[in-house]
Amino acid sequence: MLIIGCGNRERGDDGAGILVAEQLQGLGIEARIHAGDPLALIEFWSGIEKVILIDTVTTGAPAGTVHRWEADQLPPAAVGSSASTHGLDVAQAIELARGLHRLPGQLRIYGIEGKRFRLGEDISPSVRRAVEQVVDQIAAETPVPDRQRALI
Amino acid sequence: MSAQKSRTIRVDTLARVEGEGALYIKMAGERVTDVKLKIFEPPRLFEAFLRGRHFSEAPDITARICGICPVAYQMSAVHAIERALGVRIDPAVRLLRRLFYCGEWIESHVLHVYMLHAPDFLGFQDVIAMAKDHRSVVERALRLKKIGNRIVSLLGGREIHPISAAVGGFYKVPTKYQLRELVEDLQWALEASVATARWTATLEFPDFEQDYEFVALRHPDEYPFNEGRLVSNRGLDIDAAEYEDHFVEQQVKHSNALHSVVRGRGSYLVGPMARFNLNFDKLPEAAQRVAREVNLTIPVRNPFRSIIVRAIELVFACAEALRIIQEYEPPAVPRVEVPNRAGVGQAITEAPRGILYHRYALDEKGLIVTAKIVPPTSQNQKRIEDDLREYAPRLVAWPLDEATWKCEQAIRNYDPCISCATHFLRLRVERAQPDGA
Repeated sequence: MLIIGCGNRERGDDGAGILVAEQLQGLGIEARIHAGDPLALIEFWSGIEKVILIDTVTTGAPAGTVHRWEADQLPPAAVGSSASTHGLDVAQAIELARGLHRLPGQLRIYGIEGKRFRLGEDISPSVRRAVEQVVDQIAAETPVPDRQRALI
Repeated sequence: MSAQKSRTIRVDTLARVEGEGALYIKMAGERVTDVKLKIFEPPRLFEAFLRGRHFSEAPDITARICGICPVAYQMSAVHAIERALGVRIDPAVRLLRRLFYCGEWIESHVLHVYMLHAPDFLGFQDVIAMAKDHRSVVERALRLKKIGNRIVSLLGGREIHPISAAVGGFYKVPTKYQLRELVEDLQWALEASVATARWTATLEFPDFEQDYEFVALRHPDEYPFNEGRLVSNRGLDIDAAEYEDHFVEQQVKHSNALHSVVRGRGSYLVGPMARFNLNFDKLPEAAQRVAREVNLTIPVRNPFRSIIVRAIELVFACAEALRIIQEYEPPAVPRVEVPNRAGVGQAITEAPRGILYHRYALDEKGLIVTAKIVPPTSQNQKRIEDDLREYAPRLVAWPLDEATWKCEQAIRNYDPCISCATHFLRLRVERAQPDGA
């Protein structure tokens, strides 16, 4: 299993996924931080059966709302969204992987709703609380052997 | 007035450019009455953020301006500061910096050629749609890009926002063995780049040529990355220290950006087409041969054909990386000690999308007093608007949505980069109002 926290910690709430990954690491759970090109995700999960991805999202819900989607249940509007800040965004990288038959067997996405993204801004308090909530959920669903292995 | 059909091309969120932008073109009949392109968030915040910091922090801080070209920011920063302090680097460090840049050019050019620009030419909404019909092409792109990522991670210490580059050298340098491990992949990448150039040459290009002032670095012995004089096809030939005497930044109301112009002349073009036209003779034989094979002769004046030029630069970057790896002996000292001293230094390096200018003034403790950064996209911005002013009237007969798409494609010719520092998953849920799009 692979856990990946995505985001940019220089940009306020965009750092939520990275915070989740760091806190999981603190609990002895292996988690990877990804701060760059979403396309690289396709390589990361190559050959891995189960992947959990944590990223900041903007759907119009209140900041701090936690969404949980399986890859095949991503809202259709996620795809073809015209915004694009690293060439392709995470949703587009997932769709591209699907088209290339390179999605992991199981891909679960935790989306934390954010609202502040300016350079150097602090993370919103509600997003910080959502980070804790997602850490608890992932820790609860992570099989014990995975955690012990990470501790060794 | 009523005889002239008036029409407006408007794109509130430009897709497939690095960051978000907006475009507004107003026409009366075949006459363009207004072009406003808002694509760049200037790095002013970073310039302020750098003040009072020690010079050793500048490479890391500026690398965060752009997720696609952090190497460029680091390279312009270290060279400018080394010039301010009179530091000389080991020749092996110089080679490694070129290799570092090869990695970034590979990543960035592959992303743009295949994922962002090619869908326009092939009539796909995006690369996701393109992948369904051109799966092996997209697979090739992903594999090529991964090789660029490997070079950048090896030299940078990590993939995005690399941290190993430093004023005076690198904190950590690779062993010969580590570099040799890249050879097999790079040999494949060289062949794949040649295939890329041939493939881009089969695309269809609008008949559109402009009389540009091309501006790029020029070095006596090599295709430019980190060094050289700044030259143009209209007689410019200056040192980086003279940059601000010849180029001025103008504030424009409709954009956060500052438009750069050549003093007394106007807009100019930086990036692959400028480098290629001004430095064709410095390309390795492998790259020149492919350019001739695909009938790419200098000067290239059709900006849509920049996709082929990028592919030729990809051939160059792979060939150059292989050459450097063959020659490489680790430096005796990875990083020379750099004293705190007052001084002013400027440097220009060739980011994938064009020249990137940095200037730093340091005090006697080595703290940054002022910093100035002029990124390639702000230098191209006026030129893009000028292209659109000429190009839009040719689209009068097209339906509005297709004309709009073609204008977006014309913007993507420049691979513009906004600030590209956020990448969160942005969803447009059905109930949301699509901004009149």
